[in-house]
Amino acid sequence: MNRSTSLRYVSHMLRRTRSFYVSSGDTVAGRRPTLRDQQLGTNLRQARGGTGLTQEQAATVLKLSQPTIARIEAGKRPPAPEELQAFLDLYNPPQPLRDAINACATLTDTPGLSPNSYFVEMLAAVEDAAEIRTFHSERTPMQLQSQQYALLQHRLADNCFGETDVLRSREQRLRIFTRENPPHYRALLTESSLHRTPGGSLVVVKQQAQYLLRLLEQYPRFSLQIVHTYAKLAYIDTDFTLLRMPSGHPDMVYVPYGLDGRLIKDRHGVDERETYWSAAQHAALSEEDSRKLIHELAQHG
Amino acid sequence: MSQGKSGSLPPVTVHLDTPSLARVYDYLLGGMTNWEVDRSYADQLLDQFPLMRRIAFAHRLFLNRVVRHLVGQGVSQFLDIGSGVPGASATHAVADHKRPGTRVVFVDNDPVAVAHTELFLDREGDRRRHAVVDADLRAPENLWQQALNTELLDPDQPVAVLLIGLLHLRQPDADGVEIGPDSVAKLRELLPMGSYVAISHFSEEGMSNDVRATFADIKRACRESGSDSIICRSQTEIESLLGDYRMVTPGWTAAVDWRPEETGPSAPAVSFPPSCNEVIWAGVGRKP
Repeated sequence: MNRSTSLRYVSHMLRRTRSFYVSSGDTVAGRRPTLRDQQLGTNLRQARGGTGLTQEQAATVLKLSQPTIARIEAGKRPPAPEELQAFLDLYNPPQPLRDAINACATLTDTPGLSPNSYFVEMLAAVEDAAEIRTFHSERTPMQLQSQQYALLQHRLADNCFGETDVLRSREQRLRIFTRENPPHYRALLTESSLHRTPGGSLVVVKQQAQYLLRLLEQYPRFSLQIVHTYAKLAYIDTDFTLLRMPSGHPDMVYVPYGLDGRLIKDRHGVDERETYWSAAQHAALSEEDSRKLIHELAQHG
Repeated sequence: MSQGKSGSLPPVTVHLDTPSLARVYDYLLGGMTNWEVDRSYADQLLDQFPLMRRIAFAHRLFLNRVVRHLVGQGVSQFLDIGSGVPGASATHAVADHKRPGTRVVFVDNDPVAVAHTELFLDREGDRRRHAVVDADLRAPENLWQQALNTELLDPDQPVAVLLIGLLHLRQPDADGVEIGPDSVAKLRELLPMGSYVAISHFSEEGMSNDVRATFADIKRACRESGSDSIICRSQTEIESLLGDYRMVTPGWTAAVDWRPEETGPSAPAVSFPPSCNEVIWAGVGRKP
């Protein structure tokens, strides 16, 4: 590429519409607490209240300062993941409050105000699952989203989570691949989901494709097949995540539905989804051809 | 200090599908916290201005030497403003290598860079000593208060403020008036006695004509795109940014020439041809 072409590229990249701004109020005041921070802080204060501990006493045990505890409870400083676990270990709140605290720390695949309890339960079950089979069309689950995809999606949705929350949640979801003895994760994505990026960003199409290729390279237990546009499949079902659990525990299927969802545990319902997943896999491109298709996107968008 | 009629600041751009300076800089330094959009942009810039990578390393080299020197002088707390995306050779790692226990507060006004820093500190930091703050140099009182709110900085002890590769980026108020120097002046006032301020700043002074011509093309491309973000100061103007602070030996110099004896093991090796050895002008001042 010659010099003038390169300079035109530089101008073009700088001239692209910059559609995301932090308002001057946020800039002057520093980090503005999100709704999630405030809710989490309130829940932690309630959890501490249940123990009878003062902020000073909690601070001593947790090796934090009382003003830090106060700021966390006021939602002005989100706790780091290990800090949140330390709070839960110390306060040992009753299960409903513990679930509410964990829900505050959980992002769904599609931005919403709070995840439903079935989704939270499904995420907990993932930790023990022996095998995971997923089907997604038009959407990409968070563990398969590049950082850029995840951040852009949440920014566009203008929800209550900040950038740190999004990236931390995504890191947690990546434990599917990084935990000790990870499950086999077999993903089916429709071809359209490779092109359906937040806000229709073409830039993200390439980045996201490159990210999927990196995941395939890094994690041998992750496999991905693309259900292409002309696949011989009778219909495209709603997204679902199928968990095969260790013996003695029921398999389950999570099906999202807006802000709600369903967690199917009856054998008949699980079998139905298994059958569909197998049919979709049979109709999908092979793993090798899927990788070629994604590679093409990663190169050319 | 002027902050424009409204007293507020312009919005900060959140770069999610456009290149961000923090991530481009990280790529130039060999980091992994960057995206395709940043790498493509950086590669095009490098194609036109190959010195860009060496410039990034020169800033990092200066940071490495400054932090090691000041830790050696007894400084135990650092405020790294415009810290971008920290990597393996970031301030806290350099300080800890010289003397464990140093406290570092990172500051950036780019919420994505702040988020990346939070993740980095989750993995490799020590929350009892390291923190990141989302704040803006152009609101120095707020920045200083946010830094103090982390409870990592003792306001009665000297603090070393790092303004590495930052001040040649325009710092406009809401009316577009450049307030970088005023903001630094205010920050200097707020710091405890005995504090230090370290500055490394891009400068055209001392460049040969051909290098200056190449850089002029880049500046023109930026200006034509409406992104006139680089401010070129003379060495004298750069030096005035430290006001009445007393200069740490050797005073103002080319960044690559500042105290080479302080080079630490993670410091990059970088040099410039004589035609542009002073492209990064650097110095450290101490509050009397």
